[in-house]
Amino acid sequence: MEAATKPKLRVATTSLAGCFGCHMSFLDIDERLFDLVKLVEFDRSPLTDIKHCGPCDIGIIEGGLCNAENVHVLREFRANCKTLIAIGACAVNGGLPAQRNHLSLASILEEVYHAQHGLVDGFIPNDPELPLPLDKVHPIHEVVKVDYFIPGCPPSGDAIWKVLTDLLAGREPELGHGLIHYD
Amino acid sequence: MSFALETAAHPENLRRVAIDPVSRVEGHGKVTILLDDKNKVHQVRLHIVEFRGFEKFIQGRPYWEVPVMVQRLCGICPVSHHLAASKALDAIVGAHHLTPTAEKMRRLMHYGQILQSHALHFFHLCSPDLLFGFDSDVSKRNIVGIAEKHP
Ligand code: SF4
Repeated sequence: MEAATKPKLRVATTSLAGCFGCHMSFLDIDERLFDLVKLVEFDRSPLTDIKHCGPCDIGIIEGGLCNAENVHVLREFRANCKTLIAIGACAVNGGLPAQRNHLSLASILEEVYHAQHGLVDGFIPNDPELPLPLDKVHPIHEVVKVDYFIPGCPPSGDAIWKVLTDLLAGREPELGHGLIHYD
Repeated sequence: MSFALETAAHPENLRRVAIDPVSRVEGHGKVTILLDDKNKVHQVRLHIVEFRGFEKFIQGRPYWEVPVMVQRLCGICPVSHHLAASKALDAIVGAHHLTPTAEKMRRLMHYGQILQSHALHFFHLCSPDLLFGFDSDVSKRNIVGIAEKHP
């Protein structure tokens, strides 16, 4: 008989203003995913079809905040996850999308949708279904408390694996040489 | 602003169903459906909810940075963006003829990406719906359920 198995930890992941590169890197743990799912269960994640994050042990956030919906999703994750991890440059400090912060949002929208060379009858989308863009792109720790940060654009699958396995084993996660990088 | 695509004459009287986020595409999206009392669909729209402004903020950067910057448009198809920017740079620096090696390299990179992206889309995103059915239990309808049931 199998020994009584510990209840699986629940893990939720999402991409806010990110490019899914960090999620791809997470999937670079390849077949170790199957070792992982012996210990965890996925809640909301691009891998499942669950739309809202329920109570979870670990929440993983890729991407910073570039619109109002990102902020709602982030707050929902924080409210539900015991441990929240920011993965990738975008979540940690805004990343590449934050390059727009030195420009005015109006001028960017104007150029992209209206004035850009080759556009005919362009106009700035204002459909009520679209989330409102934020004036500036923010890293997630400016809005909620973040427990751990994994830098990199993207961090390697090994780095993500190390942090997750440390957490699952009850150790304080540590990346150390070779796994920590910022590009 | 209304579009030809807004096919519902009186959207205010219809029931709205939103699929948000759409989890079976590579990227961020949302679908809204408007139905009447008899569940007849009057309008379906796909919304691209992400706006980041790359078009503007890459301007003024050193030109050799751009192929690497635009990779961050999409972590699933970075190679396409990289190669598109490389082509633009070819035009800027007057490289009208690629060397055979460069051409082969680019093709190889692109084939690699197409393979990876299709594998992701088919196995991770679609296979659960196809193998378990669209109405099956949402907690099993994912890659983990597939690995258990159809290893
Ligand atoms: S940190 Fe890099 S890889 Fe991750 S979401 Fe941002 S741009 Fe993509």
